[in-house]
Amino acid sequence: MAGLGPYLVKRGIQALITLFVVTSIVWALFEAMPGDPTDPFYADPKMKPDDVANMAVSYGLAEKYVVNLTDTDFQEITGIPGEHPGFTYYIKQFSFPADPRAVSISYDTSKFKFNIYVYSNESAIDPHKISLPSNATSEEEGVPVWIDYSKYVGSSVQAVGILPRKNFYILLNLSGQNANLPSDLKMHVMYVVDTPLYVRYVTFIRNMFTFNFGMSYKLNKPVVDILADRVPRTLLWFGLATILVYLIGIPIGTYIAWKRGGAAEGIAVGTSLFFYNMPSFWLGLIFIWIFSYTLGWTPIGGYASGDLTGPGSTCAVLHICPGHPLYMFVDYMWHLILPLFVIILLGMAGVILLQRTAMLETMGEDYILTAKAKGLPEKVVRNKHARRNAMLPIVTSFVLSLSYAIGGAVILEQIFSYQGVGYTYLQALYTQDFFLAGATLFIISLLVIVGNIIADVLYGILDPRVRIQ
Amino acid sequence: MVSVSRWQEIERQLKRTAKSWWKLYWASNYGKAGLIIIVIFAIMAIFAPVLTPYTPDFEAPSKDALVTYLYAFHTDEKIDDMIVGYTQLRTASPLGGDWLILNHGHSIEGIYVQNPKIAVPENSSKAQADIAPWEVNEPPITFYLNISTIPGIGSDEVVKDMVFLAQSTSDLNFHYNGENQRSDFAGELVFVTQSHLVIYDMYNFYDQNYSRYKVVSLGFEPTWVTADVTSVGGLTSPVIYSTTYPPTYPARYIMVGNAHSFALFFHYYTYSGDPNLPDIDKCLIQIYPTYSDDVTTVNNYHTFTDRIKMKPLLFYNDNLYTKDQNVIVVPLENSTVLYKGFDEHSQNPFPGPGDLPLVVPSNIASRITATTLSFSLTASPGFYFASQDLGVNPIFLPARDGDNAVIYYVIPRGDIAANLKTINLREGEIDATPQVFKSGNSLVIYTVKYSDAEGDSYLYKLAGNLSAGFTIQPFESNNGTMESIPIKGERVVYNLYVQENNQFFFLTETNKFYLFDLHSYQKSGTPDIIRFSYYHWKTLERNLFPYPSGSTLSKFIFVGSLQGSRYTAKAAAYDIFGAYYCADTNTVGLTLLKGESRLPLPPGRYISGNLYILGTDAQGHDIWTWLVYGSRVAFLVGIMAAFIQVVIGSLYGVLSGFKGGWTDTVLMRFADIMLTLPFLPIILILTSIVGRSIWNIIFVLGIFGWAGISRVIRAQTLSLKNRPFVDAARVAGASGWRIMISHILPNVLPFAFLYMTLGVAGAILSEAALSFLGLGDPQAVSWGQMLSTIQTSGATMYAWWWLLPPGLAITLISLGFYLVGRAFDEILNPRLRKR
Repeated sequence: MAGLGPYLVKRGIQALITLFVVTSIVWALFEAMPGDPTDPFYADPKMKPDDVANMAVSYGLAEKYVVNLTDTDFQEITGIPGEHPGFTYYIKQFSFPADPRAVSISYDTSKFKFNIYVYSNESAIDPHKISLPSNATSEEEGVPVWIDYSKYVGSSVQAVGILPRKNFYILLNLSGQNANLPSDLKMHVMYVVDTPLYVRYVTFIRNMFTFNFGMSYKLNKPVVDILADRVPRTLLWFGLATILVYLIGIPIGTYIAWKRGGAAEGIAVGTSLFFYNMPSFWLGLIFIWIFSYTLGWTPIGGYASGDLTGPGSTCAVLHICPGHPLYMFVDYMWHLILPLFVIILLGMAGVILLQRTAMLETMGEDYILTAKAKGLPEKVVRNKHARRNAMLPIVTSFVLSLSYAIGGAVILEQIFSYQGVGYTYLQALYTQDFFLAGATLFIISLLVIVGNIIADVLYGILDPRVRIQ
Repeated sequence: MVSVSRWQEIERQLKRTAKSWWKLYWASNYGKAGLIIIVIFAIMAIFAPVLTPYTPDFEAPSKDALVTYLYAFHTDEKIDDMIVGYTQLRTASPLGGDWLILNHGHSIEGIYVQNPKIAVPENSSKAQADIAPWEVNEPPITFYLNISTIPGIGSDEVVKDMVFLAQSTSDLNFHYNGENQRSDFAGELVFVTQSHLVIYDMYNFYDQNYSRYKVVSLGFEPTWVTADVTSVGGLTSPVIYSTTYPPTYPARYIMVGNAHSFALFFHYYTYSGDPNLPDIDKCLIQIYPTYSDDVTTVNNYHTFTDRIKMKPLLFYNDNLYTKDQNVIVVPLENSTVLYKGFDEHSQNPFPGPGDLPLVVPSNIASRITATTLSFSLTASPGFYFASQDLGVNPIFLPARDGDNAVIYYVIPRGDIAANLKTINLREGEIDATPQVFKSGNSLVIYTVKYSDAEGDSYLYKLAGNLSAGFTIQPFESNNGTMESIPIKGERVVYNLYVQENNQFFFLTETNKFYLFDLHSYQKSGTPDIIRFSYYHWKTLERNLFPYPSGSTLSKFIFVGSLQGSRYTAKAAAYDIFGAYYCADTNTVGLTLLKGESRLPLPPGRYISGNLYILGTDAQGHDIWTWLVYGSRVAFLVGIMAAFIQVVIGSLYGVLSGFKGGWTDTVLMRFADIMLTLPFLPIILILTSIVGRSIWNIIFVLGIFGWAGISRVIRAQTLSLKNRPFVDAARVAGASGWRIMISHILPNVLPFAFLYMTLGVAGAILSEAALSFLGLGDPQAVSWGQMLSTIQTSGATMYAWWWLLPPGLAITLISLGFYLVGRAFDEILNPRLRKR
C-alpha cells in the first residue's frame, strides 16, 4: 500500500505548478488590460513623478531616464496660432524611442518666470500647427492645442491631461519681444519607458510569490495590509457557509435518496433544483429587499458596524453596544446572517442533489444488496455502507464548490457590500487600481489552490486507491 | 448481395437510438418538465414581436412617465400684469426662490415662492399624493405696496409697467457678505406710472427702518419700462442664455419710453441691505439723450416720428474679452435702430467700494452712436449671451423681406449694416423670438415661422456659425427626417425650447399652449404637437393648461432651468417651470414644464392607454417586452457558449484519452489548472479586455468553460478505446485520427450533448452575472442587463416588478436546460433511473 507521504508530495508539486501557471495567466491578463499599474499614480498631481518612477523601476515596470536641458537646447519660434505679440516663444522637440509611460519637467519656478506649454503626439507634427489656448476662437475638436503646464511644473504631464507619446514638444514664452532665455537655465526632463515584457513577467511572478504586492493607489496603503484585513472576512463567510451547507445538505441528500419516490423527495429535489439554477446575486438582492429594507431585521450591508453606533448599526438596532462582552460576536454574526443564508440556500441545493445522486449510485452496488440481504438494520446499511462510499464525489464537489464560492464571492460581496477579497477585487478593477487587482486575483487563485490541496488530502485519506495512481 | 451503404446504416442506427431514447427520455419527469420550460421560452423567443405590442426600444411616452404639476391660486384683485423677480440667479439653492409680482393697478403685490424642491424618500415607492412641488412659506412671504403711499405719487396714478432688477450674487462677494442679507428681500422693483419712474428697494418690505427708493418725475407719459437682460435675470424675455457666468459689474441700464420716445438711464445697484451702497440719488444717471447725474425730473427724451413697435432689447454683457458688443435694439414700425457705446465705463477696471458709484463719462450721450437698419422687426430679437469662452454675442433680428421670413444676424460691432447677414426661411413671418443655443462649436437656432399662405406655423432648426452662415437642419428621427415640424392651423407667438427636457413649448395667438417632445419624435418619426396638460398638485386631476379650465392665458413666463437630462434628473427637473396668470379668472400659477419622472412605472394601464403588464424600467422600457426579447439573447448566449465549450472539451478529451501517455498527462494537468482558475474573476477581466459585446461574452464563456467536459469525455474515451470495435478499426488499418474522429467521437457525442445542456444553464447564469457587474453588452436586450440597470438606477429596493421577472426567467430557463441534462443523464447512467 502506497503511503500518504509521497502522494502528498506529488500533489504539492502539482499545486505549485498550477499556481505558477495561474499566476502567469493573471500576469498575461493584466498585461493585456489597457494601462499600467502606475498610470493613476502619475496622473495624481500630489505624487512626485520621481517617486512614482522609482517605484515603477523597483517593480520592474519601467526604465527611468533624465535629460538635462539648458538655454541652448531651445530654439526660438514664431508664427504659432494665437501667439501674443508681446511674447517671445522658444521650443524644444523630443523624439522618444517609444511611447513613454510618463514625462515630467522640473525647474526652479521661483527663479525662471515663464509660462511652459506642452504637447504630445504619436506622429511628428509641425509645431506651427499647434495653437495656443488663448486663441479663443479655435474651439474645434481635434485641433492640436498647447496645454499650459506652468502650474504643474514638477508633476507628470498626465496631471494636465496629456497622454505622453513618442513626439513631445515643450514651448516656453518669455514676456517681451526678442527676449532671450536665461543663460543659467536648468531644466530636467524625466521620462519613463516600459520595460520589455519578459522583465515585467519575471518581476511579476517573483513579486507575487514573495507577496511583494505594491501599493494600492485608491486606498493609499500597501496591498499586503489590505488583503491581510480582507481575506479573513471572506474565509469567515464562505468557510462558515460551506461547512453549514455540507452539515445540513448531506443528511438531507442521504435521506431523500433512501426514501426514494416519496413526497419529501419531490419537494426537496424540486426546491433544490430551483435554487441550484438561480443567479446568486438575484437571490441576494431579493433577500436584502425583504429582510433588510422591508422588515429591517438585518443590516443593509457591510461586514460589521465596529465602533459605529449611528442609525442602522448593531448598537442602534440590537442594543448590544461596543463594550458588551459579546459585542464582537454579535456584530459580526448579525452582519453575516443574511449572506450566510443566501449561500446556504444556494449551495445546499447542489449538495443535496449530489449526495442524492451519489447515494443512488452506491445503493445500486451489490454490496449494499448483500448487506441488506444479510439482515443488517437499515440505518446501519444507510449510514455505514452507503453513505461513506457516497462521500467520495461529495469531497470532489467540495473542491469545486470552494473554487466556485470564492469566484462567486466577487458578486455576492458586491451585493452585500461585504468588504472581503471579492469586493476588493471588483473595486480595484473599477478604479483601475491594478496593483491591488492583480494581487487580489492572485490571492483568490491561491485560496482556491490551497482548497484543492486540502481536498486532495481528504481524498487521499478517505480513499486509499487514489494514492496508488 | 444487398449492399447497405455506410450512411444508410448510420441513419438506421440513429433512428433506432432516437426512438429508444425518446421513450426513455419521456419516461423521465425531469425531462418532461425541462422540455416544457424550454419550449415555452423558445416560443417567447420566436414569437416575441407577436407577444408584445412594443419593441425593446420603446419608451413610455412622457405623458405616462412624467408628472407635470401645477400650483395655482386666486387673487382678490384684478391682475393687469405680472413679472417674476429672480432672487437667486440660476442657483438651485433651496433657500432661493422667485417673487411673483402682480400689477393690480394702484398697488403691487408680491408672493414669494421658494425654489421648487421635493422630498421624495429615497427608497419609497414614490407615492406622490402628498407632495407639493412648490413650497410657499408658512406664513407666506408677501408684500403689498399701495403706490400712493410712496411720497410724490398721486392717488390717481396707476402702474403702467414694471421690471425687477435682480441682485447679483457675484457683486455680493465683492461688496457685502453681511448678516442682514436676505436672498428673498433682495432686488429692486422698477415701475412707471403716468408721470413717474420709481425705483423701490425690496429690502423696504423686510425692514421698517430701511428707506431706499427713488421717484423720478417724467416729462412725458411712459407706457413701458425695460432693463438690461442681465439685470432682470434674462428671463422675462423668452430667450435663454449661457448659464455659466453671472453678471460681474454692478451696472444696470433702465430704459423708459412710450410709443414714440425713450430715455436711457444708468443705475448702480448691487445688493439690498448693503451698507456700502451709496445714496440712491447718486445711483441713477441719465445717459441718453442727454447726460444728467441729478435725476429728479427728466425732460429730455429721444423722439422718433415713427412708432416704437415693441419693447426694445437692452443687451448688455460685460463678461466678454471683446466688450464692444453691447447693443440696444429699438424696433420701429418701418425700421430698426441699434444703439452702441452706452456701456463705455464698464471697460474700466472693476471699482472698489470707495470708488462708488461708477463714474459715467459726462459726454457719454455724444459717444452713443445709432445705426438705422431699413427693415422692421416682426418679433423681439434673439441673442446668444456668451460666456467668455466663445466671446461673441450675435444678435438675431427676425424680419420680413417681401413675402419671406428672414433672420438678419450680426455681431454688433464695427460697421453693423455692412456686416449684416441673412437666413431666408421663405414665405411667412417669424412672430416668436428665435432661440439660440451653443452646440459644440456651432450655434443652433430654433425658430418658428408662420406661413400666411398655409395658415400653419413651422418649427425650424438652423445650425452653423457666424462666419460660414446658417443652414436649415432637418429634424432627424428613426423613421426618416423632416425639414420642419408643422404646428397646424396655429400662429405661434412664443417659442420656448427647454434644453433639459428636449421639449418645445409653443404659445399661440389664440392662447393655446402646445408641447412638442423632440425625444419622442426622434424615436417615432411622428411629430406630435400636443396641448400641454398638468396634474393639479392637490387633486391630482389632469387637465389642459392653463388652470382653471376655460380661462384665458394672459402671460406666460419661463422661470429657471438647470442642467439635467430627460428622465434621469429628478430634483433638477423641478427647477424647470413657468409662471402665468389669467386675467379673466384672476388666477396666478406655476407649472412644471419638465415634470417629475415617475419611472419606473408599476404595472398598470396609463394615460396614453398603454398597458404595461409588468411595468417599466427607469428608462420607460416595457418590462414584459424586455423579458420576451431577452429570451433570444439567453438562447443565443447559452447555446453558442455551451456549443463552443463542448466542441473544445470533446476534441480535447478524446485527444487526451486516446493518445494517452505524456500527452494525456500534460493535457489533463492543463485541464485541471483551467478548472482551478477562479472563473468569474477571470472572465471579468477578459471581457473588459476584449470589449463588451455579446459575441465576445459568448467567446469568453466558451473558451473558459470546457475543462470539466474534457475530463468526462476523456474518461469515456479511455473506456471506449479498448473496445473491440476500436481494435477492429485499428487492425483494418485506420489511422489514429480516423479512429478518434469517426469511431470514438460519435460514441462520446451523447455525453457531449448532456454536458452541453448543462453548459447552457451555466452560460446563461454567467452572462447574467457579467451583465450585472456592468460588463455585459450595453446594447443587448438581456435579462442580466435588466438586473444591471435596476441596480444602477437605484430602484432595486422598491421596483419588484422590475427585479423579479428577469431573475425568475434566468432561473427557469437554466432550470429547463438543467432538467433536460438530467434526463439525458438518466438515459446514459441507467442506475439513476427509477427501478
